[in-house]
Amino acid sequence: MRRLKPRKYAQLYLMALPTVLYFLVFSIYPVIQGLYMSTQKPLLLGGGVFVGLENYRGVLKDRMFWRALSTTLQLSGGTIALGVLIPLIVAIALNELPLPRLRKFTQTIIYTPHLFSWVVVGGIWIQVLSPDGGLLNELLNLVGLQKVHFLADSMWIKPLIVLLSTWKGLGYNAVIYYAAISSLDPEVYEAATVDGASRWQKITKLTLPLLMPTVRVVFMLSAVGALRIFDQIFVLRNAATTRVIDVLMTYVYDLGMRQFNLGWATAASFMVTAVGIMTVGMLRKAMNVDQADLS
Amino acid sequence: MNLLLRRRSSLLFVVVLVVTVMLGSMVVHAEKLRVVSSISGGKTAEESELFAKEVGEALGLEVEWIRPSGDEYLQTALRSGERFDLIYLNTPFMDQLVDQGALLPLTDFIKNSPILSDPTVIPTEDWEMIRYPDGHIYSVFNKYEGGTLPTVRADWLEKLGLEVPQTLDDFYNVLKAFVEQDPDGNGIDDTYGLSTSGLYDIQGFMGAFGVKARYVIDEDGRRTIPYASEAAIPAYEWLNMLYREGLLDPNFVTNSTADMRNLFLADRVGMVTYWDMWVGLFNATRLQEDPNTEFRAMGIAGPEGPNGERILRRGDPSIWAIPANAQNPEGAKRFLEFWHTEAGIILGSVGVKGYDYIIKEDGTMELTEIGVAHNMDHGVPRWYNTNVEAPFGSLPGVKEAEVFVNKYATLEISTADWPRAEAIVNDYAFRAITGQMTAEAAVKKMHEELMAANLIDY
Repeated sequence: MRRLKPRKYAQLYLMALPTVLYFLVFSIYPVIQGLYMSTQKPLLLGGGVFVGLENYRGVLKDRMFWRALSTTLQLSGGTIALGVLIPLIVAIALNELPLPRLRKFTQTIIYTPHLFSWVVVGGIWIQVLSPDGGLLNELLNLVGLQKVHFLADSMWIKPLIVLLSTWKGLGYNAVIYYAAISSLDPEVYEAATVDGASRWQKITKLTLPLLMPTVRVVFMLSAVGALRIFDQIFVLRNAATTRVIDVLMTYVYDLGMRQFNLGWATAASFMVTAVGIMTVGMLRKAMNVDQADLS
Repeated sequence: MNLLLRRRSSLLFVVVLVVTVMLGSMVVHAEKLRVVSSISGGKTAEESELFAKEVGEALGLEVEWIRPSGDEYLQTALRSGERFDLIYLNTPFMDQLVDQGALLPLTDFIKNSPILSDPTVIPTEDWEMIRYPDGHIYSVFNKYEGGTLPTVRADWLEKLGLEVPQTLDDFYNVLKAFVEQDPDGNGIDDTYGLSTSGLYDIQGFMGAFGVKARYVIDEDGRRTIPYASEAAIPAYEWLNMLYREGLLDPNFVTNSTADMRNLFLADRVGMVTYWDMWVGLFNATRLQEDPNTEFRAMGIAGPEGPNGERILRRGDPSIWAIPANAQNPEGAKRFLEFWHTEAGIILGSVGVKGYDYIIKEDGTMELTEIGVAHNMDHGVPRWYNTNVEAPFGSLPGVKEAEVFVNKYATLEISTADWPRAEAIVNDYAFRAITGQMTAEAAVKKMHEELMAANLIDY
């Protein structure tokens, strides 16, 4: 068994101490405090009454929690699927662009939305999609189609959120793919050219298989944050669509901040964390990420 | 001799030191009042300080006036153990605090206060709005709230030769004329009849069908939501007709109240549903831009129902309360009285002397540039106290609108469950109005889901 050898490594332990303290104070303590709060009925002037697992039971019995979970999975599923695939296509297309300047310019354009906060992005798209003078509806009108209130229509709002999330994150994932493509061994492509492979064949038979480890990493990174989507929902929801697009994090927010039900809200957020850890764990195992890519 | 003198000097020094320390400690422990309000007070950090100073001088207290940007601050601060002497809140939050015994009962204080018990300062019957079943009152009103009602462009009515609408058919005809007859005369088809901010206030129209917003609780304590009842079906159908025919602004679902107000002020819409006070603010804003403007907003009663009934919405009381753990409840009570005196009302409305207004040599009041920008609203744009005259008179159209509010407006009942119920009501009401579902199907689903979630009893 390896010993810690405190005397020999005292200086190193001392150097690590601030980081350990930081995590203890700002990560571990809040988690413990949160766990404690999830077993309380908090009182508004501080303190609380111990209720055991009642808050967890309450959340599990709440239809709105299950509704929010279902919506979260639908929106996350859609966002992950498109968010992994479309940037891949864009990165490959970028790589095929002949002029380096044009490539850089395109890269900048598609990366820009990632830099904006959801408040800005939401504001832009609310204007674009407005039925009263919005660009898209004016175009629909021009071609003789009826105007659609995309942001208030329960049929349109979910696909819209998936598309906007994909659009915003497109540049980020495309850059990861593009970096991976750039690092592929050019000799392989030269050999394929000598063997008479077409451009399409090089993409499908070489680039795509060689990119699979990166695809898995992008997939995992997207999946980790998927259950925590909040910003886009908060910005784009309105009274007509709140229930259609409410996700787990908005459910927690509404419980805690609008209904002052902090015990339930904390219990719900721990359940979201638990579901998140389990989902990511299962995905890692299913995709064999540790062995295939990260080792 | 010298030694004696030196000893006396030392003694004198010690006495002076002790007295100084004692005085110092008295200064440190001077009576302090900690106030939190996200609405009332100075509009900027600079004005907040001046505001606190004014209140402090009036009460002889050291005042700390905290003005957070949102309501979340209050509950977070209270929960984390911060102690305040006075908090500004709305009735749903007050319900929760009362439920947990977190507020001081003020019943006896109000009864014994010569200011607050005076019916010319606050009407006796209005205290009943905030009295709890245990017989106690836990708060004092911040201001007179008024209510909401349809507000129409009176100049457009005149221009198009239309009468003030009374019935649902009249309203339909007026809204149609606003859309089709180019009331702003710009030659462009760019006007809507009606705009709202979501379902924020469709009560005026729902009232024509005898349907009251939020909860109705019967004598046995059983809860229902009339918007989810069969009586609401024709109301949704009528609103859907407006939407379908382009008489209702299609953005009504996503409009903020500011969007709606701007549409009204920008000649894009002929009718909105909003606070009676805003009738005056609409008129004042346009008059300020152009003294010769034809723009004239007018508050009107909603359409009357088949039996002549009308229902408008009375504003939820905004109130001041004293937390049970307040350190200076007596100081807080002094403030509550002060807030309803002339000096308190001027401070809460016009603002701080020398900053928002000045007193001219002839004794009249004049607003400064900042005062004009602050619109005579520092938490109390209107007040209960009938003994205090508005220094600049009331804004054009407000008094007339108030008549309808006082006659037809009633308070809505919100329980702790309302935020959850509201999401379900909104969901299906919007689907019915925008035609995504028939009104009948929407009401059926709304009612089913409210029952299933145990949010209504019948």
